[in-house]
Amino acid sequence: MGLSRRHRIILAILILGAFAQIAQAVLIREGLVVFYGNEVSLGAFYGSWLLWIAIGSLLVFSRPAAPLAAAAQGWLRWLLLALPPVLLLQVLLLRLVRLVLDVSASEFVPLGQLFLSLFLVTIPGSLVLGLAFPLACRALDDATAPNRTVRNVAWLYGADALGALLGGVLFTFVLLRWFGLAGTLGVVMLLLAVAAGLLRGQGAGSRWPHWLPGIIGVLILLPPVGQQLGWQLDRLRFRILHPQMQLLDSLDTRYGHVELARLGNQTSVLQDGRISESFPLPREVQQQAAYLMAQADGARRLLVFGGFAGGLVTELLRYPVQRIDLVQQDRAAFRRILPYLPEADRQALRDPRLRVHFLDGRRFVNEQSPERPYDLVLVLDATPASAYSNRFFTLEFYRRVQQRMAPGGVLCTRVSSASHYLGRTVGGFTGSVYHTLKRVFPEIAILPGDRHLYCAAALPERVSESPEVLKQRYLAIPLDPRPFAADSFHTLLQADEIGYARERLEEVPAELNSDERPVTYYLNMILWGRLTASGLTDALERLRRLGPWPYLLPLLLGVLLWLLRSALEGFERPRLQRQSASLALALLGLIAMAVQLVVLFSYQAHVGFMFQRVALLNGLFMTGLALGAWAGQGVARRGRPVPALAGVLSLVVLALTALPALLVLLGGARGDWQEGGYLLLSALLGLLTGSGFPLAVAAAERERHGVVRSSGIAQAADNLGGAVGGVLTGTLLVPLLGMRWSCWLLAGYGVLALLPLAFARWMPERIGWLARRGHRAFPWSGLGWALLWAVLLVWGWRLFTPDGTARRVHFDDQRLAAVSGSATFEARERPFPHYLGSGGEAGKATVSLSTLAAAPGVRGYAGPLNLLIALDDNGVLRGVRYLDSDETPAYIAGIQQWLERLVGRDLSQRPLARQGIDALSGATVSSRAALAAIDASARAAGRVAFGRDWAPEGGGRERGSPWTEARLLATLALLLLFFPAYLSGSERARLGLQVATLVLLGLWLNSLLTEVDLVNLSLGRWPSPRDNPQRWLLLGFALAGGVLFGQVWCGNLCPFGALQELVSRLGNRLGLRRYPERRLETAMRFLKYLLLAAMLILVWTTGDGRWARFDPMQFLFSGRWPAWAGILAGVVLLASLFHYRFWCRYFCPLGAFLALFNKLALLQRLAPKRRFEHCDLGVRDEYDIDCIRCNRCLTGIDTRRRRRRENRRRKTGLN
Amino acid sequence: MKHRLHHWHRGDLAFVGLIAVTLVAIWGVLGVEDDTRPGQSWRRIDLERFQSYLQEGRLSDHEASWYHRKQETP
Repeated sequence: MGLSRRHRIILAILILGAFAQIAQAVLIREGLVVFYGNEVSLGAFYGSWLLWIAIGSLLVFSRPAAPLAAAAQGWLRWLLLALPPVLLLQVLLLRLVRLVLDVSASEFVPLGQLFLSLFLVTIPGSLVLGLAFPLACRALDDATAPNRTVRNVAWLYGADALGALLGGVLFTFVLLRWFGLAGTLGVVMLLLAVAAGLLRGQGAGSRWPHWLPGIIGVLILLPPVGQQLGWQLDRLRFRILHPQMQLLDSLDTRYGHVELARLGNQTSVLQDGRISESFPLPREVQQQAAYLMAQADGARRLLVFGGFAGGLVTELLRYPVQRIDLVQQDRAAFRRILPYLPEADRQALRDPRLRVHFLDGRRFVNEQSPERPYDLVLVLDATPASAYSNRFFTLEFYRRVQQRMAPGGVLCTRVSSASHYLGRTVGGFTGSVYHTLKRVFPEIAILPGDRHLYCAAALPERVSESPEVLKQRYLAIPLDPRPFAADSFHTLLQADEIGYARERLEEVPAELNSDERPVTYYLNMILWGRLTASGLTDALERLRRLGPWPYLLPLLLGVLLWLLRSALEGFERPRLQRQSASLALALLGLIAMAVQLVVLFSYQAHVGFMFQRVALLNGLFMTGLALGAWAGQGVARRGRPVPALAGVLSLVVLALTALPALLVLLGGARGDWQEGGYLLLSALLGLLTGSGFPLAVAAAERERHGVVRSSGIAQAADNLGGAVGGVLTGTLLVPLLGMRWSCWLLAGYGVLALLPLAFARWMPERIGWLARRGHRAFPWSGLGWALLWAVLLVWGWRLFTPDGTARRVHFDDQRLAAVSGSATFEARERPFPHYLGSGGEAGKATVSLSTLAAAPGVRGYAGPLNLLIALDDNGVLRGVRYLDSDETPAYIAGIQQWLERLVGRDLSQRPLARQGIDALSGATVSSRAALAAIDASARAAGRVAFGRDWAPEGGGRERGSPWTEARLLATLALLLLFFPAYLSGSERARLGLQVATLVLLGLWLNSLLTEVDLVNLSLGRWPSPRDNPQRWLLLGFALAGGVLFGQVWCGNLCPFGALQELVSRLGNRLGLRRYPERRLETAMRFLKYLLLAAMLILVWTTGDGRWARFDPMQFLFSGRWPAWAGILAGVVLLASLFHYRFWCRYFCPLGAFLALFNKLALLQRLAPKRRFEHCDLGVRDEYDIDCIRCNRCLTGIDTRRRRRRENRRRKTGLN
Repeated sequence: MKHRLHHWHRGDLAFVGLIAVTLVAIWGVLGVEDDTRPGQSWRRIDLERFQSYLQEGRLSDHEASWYHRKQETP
């Protein structure tokens, strides 16, 4: 062949691009069939496809000197030869997936397993494709002059994209139509054999590796071979999906895969692997027809969407109708089914009243003339289990149908439900259809069952749920004979069943289903998850309640923290520009994939046959990418890629902002204009996003030279971004947020990509006041920032998530009996959950309830206390149990024993708060809150259960104001003493302060700041300042002190720290103190930050405050120690003899949090100047994160530099 | 760590030992146990717990109230 080496490589990549597009389309279609047509498989597929391509690229670029890259062209040839058998293997694996997962035909594949199987199946092919691109770039670079990297990459990118377009067109219009799946595989083998042949160098050995796949491909193309192979593959898949049924026929339509099968004397039509119709079912059809015609009393013109095979249309023709318009999706599928239908159905097609229309249902409704309105419209054979069929349950569809109906017209539709019990998930799913329908048709009659049948009308009393009314209407229809017994309406329509269904449907929150936000489709996924016990369902439910902001948070936080780190630690401008260009490229990849999925979803919703057009749409998109790459390459050659990249991003943001309006316009367009509009849109979006690729490559190449690395980085970043975009958009964004918010969210990502570019371009490399604070105390700066990102992200998500923590307000009989002494209980819900007890050893009527249910406003240190209390009808307290609270463990340790002393008290005349009860030692506030909660609950329960006024307010001894209590005054005095002690720098003054802290705050008041306070603050649980001013004073001081002076709380006012300090000084005096090797000690000091991050994340994600209750200071001064707490405290104090403040330095999460304030310390210049050379704790910098402001370095007495030298000498001597 | 420790002294080992013991004690205080966590072995049913949850209404959140409707006092 006369082609140069360069041209042969480019041609080979063009063929590879075509193959990639064809392979994608084949696997997507296989996935849709296996997973019952649900488009969530699209997002999962694209995500894993692109991820493995990215990993393949990374494998090459991370080792540019490896043999793979050194013999790039040769390896590329072998990869091309490997691809056809890999694709065949992937198709077989997908067809066998249900067998492997052991999921029967009647079940959905659990969501997690769906994602996992797609993830694994895509590995071989996409990994190979990922390896191929950077190898091709290297091969091309070897074949051309140097310094043409950007141009070479752009050529290949363009060839790849053009190949994708050709592949898409070829697959959509030629291969499927003429050759089927097996023939397509044959063509693919032939093409790749040619491509591999192009890459074969001179004298490169035998030709048979290229000829053999080519010959096999040609063989498969031969009709007998290809058809037989295709049929066997179909049979294999069918046998696995439906082992009991016999496959009669199958074909691919533009909407999906249709099969015809038989089981016994029943024949079924399957759409995408799922049974959509079965026949003959004469009884069911007769009943249905009778019910529908009775609802639409006097209907003459009917519109029916699908379902001819079920026989309903034939039955309806027995009624006095004038016209039935039947809309069937696909003519070819209809003709294939006809021979299997009963004779009566085939005869019905000759009835002049019946007109069959072969086009998409939505399109029919859009184009139908409103002058010929319908009396009855039936949408009975769709189910909102995919984006495609969900379009027959949307607001837009119902509105359009209403415009085609007569004023008294009736619309009937059916949706999966449950016969007798509508749980939260099922109710939500069927309820969303109900409420959407109700928005357009205010009158709805419900026929409950395994599928709810809704008949809706605009006029009042047009539809009815009365069996007698429907019976009379039915009898008024001139029908002879009557196949359906009129009295059966009474059996069919059960008033209490209908009443229950209506009540439940009215109760569920109304989520309206629309084309723009297909929420019912998402609810179907959740229902699917519940039915398959998928662990993802709870996460999906939580996500449903969130808006768009939680999706923006990870990137927003990541970018902001990255820029903050760069400002603090300083940066090298070229390196930062390269990193920001890579980020921009990754985000462009994400946006490109995400927006293409939005277009696909919109296409599916408005046009409907994405199954057929997916290859073409993707091919056009890839073409747009290629054209964009060409344009971008031209700009990159001018030498200013970074500003140009910023320009591209800005244009992308503008386009995304306008896209929702454009999609609405396209949705309303007609016929070919609509489809053409979508095709053009795909190309334009590809053009815009593709132009960024060469610009990012140019920006990356400036710092690192080497075509393999540049192209590898670029492709990896692009594909990784695409992987995330695919999964995120396909599975979450569009169904949850809708298309509008999805586009705006993507625009937000574009804006965030601009920030680092602007920062790298304009910010000075060093900002004085920030850089001074940038001292790195630990060698793992990246890990520290990653932890900070993770913590802030989880906290941010927590803020957006409604508090789902369930507090116990319902109880079982056993527990109630133990507290109240009654034997039987009657549960009541209003006005709050409570239980009326009787019998048993109580001998009287009792009432039991949770204080949280009746008195949630009563608060302790950190919120309400939850107690289970029981009172008899005389107002005597029969029992009390502590359930849960958010208090510090020290304050509630021993509370159960204290509560039990209250049993037997009479609340009928006076509340407990005025009965002179001593507070729980060391927990005054918590115990007062408990008494107040019991009083308030008794008051409420007495009124509700027995009509009595118990625990009246007023009278008895009232306690004093908390503002004049000794605890507050003592705390205030201590805090005031801090200033002279700290600012003077006196060792003795500070020691005196430490002792005072230990005695006052620790031993006397047991009032410490702990991690529980930190967690409660983060969850918005504040102590009441009116009832607890002392706590506010401590919190405020710790925070304000940190901002002004740094971590002064830890070094001066923490009682537990003070205790450790005294123990450590004792150990030093006894000569016990040891100093570990500096680097080891530094590593261990990082541990407390890990503990802080783990603790916060666990508490926020689980909602269980238990994860924050492990610090010894939470128990130490209360005198009541749980089992392991004593051991922990003992270990810590013992260790403090040998290591200064052992817990503070290595474990204290609160200390780790307060240490962050060392980066602020706005007024630390007022404090005594520290002498870092005397510090024995490794502090070397003014803003070192680990300085607890102990000021021991001022005198150096306790730091004992001389003794440390002796220790070191001793160690060296031992060695 | 960028700089690896090349020589371990007795004191360093003791220090690491103290750290480890403290971590174990923290684990003990948290009282983490291998309980039935959500999503694990969904085919295994703890009948006693199930019975308790059922009676408390935690499984249904009152969704089955249609079966047990009581006369509510105003």
